[in-house]
Amino acid sequence: MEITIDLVKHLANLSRLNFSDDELENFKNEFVQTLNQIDELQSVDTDNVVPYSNLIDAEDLREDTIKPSLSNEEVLKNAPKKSRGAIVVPKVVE
Amino acid sequence: MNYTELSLYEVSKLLKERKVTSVELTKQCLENIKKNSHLNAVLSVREEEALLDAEKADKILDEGNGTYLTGVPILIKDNINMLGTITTCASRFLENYESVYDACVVEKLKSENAVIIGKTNMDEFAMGSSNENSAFGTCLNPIDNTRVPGGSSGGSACSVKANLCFASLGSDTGGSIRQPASFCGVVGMKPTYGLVSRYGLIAYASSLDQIGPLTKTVKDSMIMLTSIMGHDDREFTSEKIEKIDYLNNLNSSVLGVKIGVPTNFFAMGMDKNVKKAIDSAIEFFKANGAEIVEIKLDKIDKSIPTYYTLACAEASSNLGRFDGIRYGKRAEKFTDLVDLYYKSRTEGFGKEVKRRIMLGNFVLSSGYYDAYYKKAKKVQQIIKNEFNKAFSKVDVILTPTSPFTAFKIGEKVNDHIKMYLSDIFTVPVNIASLPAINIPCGKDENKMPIGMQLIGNKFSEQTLFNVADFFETNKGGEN
Repeated sequence: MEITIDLVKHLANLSRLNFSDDELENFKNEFVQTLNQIDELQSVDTDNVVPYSNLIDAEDLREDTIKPSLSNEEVLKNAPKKSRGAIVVPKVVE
Repeated sequence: MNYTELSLYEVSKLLKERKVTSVELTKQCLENIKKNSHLNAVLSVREEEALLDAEKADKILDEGNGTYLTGVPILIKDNINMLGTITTCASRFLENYESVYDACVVEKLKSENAVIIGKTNMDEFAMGSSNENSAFGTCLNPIDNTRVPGGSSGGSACSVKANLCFASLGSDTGGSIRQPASFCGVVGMKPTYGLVSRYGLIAYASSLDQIGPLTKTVKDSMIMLTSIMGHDDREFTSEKIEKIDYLNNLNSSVLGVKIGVPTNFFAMGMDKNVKKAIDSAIEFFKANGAEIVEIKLDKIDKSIPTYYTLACAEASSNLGRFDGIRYGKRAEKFTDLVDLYYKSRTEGFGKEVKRRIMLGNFVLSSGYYDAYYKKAKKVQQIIKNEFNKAFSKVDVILTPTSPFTAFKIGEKVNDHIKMYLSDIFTVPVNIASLPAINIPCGKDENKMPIGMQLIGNKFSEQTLFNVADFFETNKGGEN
């Protein structure tokens, strides 16, 4: 498949990452190489193969009991900006 | 006397006999960390706290109590949470992140009064094979400082080799314990998926990640794994398995053990010195009563594309939490909430992390999900089936850990495809959720260590230890 700058920009948006035009061009070129490698998968016959899962049996769950968790102070310990027991974010509603 | 060159097993005996104190050992390790700061193996040190922990351990030992690990200085990889320590994942994003709880493995080490002295350097968010992706500078190979220690647990491997600690913990998603262990000439164990709780490990690719020990000897590896294994009901993929005392159950022998050699896998290319060392190991096993069985793993060459598809997909999702809101880096200047996300992530993440997030978002995005992500999950099943078939005929599978020995710093940094191929022998193990161990098995002409990988069936860690210990005791890696 053809990798376009528009696709790379789309991925950057999905990733919430900014890139300069040079960086986008670099990523595009690298991406072509990476996809060449990943495209090797297409040659494998996977008809009738069920996708792998290493999750444990979903029937085998623990009881849902209430236990003490982190305190408000601990949860907020690493918040870049906080006030009165809450995290401060830029205004989202006018 | 300097005790730091001893193995964990040896020093543990001296501690029990009270011929040395934990405080003395801890001081010697802290001194070694300072003397070897050029190696850049350790990102943060718990100097005062470690000495207090050592005093406490000495009291327990004075009373005739304690385990193999009581009072033994240990380092842990900087993606493992330990209450009150800075846990950076070697990323600018988490440069000042202070852990508010202990990982399950840390709780377990603490419960035996091991002395955790600090946190080791790594590739950022465990993404890399050389440690050159650390935001805090690369860690050096302790044997040749112009070479990489391997990655991503490069600091953990380097620390054990350079006697900065008696054992360390790493994490392994595609080879991140075994490959650096191979490059530094130490023992590295990647347990079966689900044997060790990942609670408190900062996730890279959750379905592949597993914590494991790096040690000087196979016996030390058994002691460490016995300590950290076991069920944890806070972790959904943790298997309900009782504690196993690997050292006590040790049956150091290869008599009658069926060792599979995947010849088509070997044909994918390896350094001639590596080949020679592996051939010599095979001869050794044969001479000592093991049965060598040629096996085929037909789709093993699809492991690298399968791995990068799955690991990057999971990484792009796992790293979505780093948004600049709740913890970690928040950009100083931004126009609105969305701009805050973009700027914080753009400033906080390094190049390789961005590359993998982008690839992950590609394989998961609308229109490509079936062709890439789902396809890779199916190929993963095929690879797993091939291993299952192989393990119906053999007890262990032998391969090199890496196709080459430690390379020069900077040598592969601009060629990410070549870098990814470092992990060609290790990645299939994670894809199939299996256990594997690296043990040193020789040296190349530059005196750099060569590592052998023994792969076992699910939960056959004891078999791996039995074979690895026999090799280490009777042949060793210094040939």
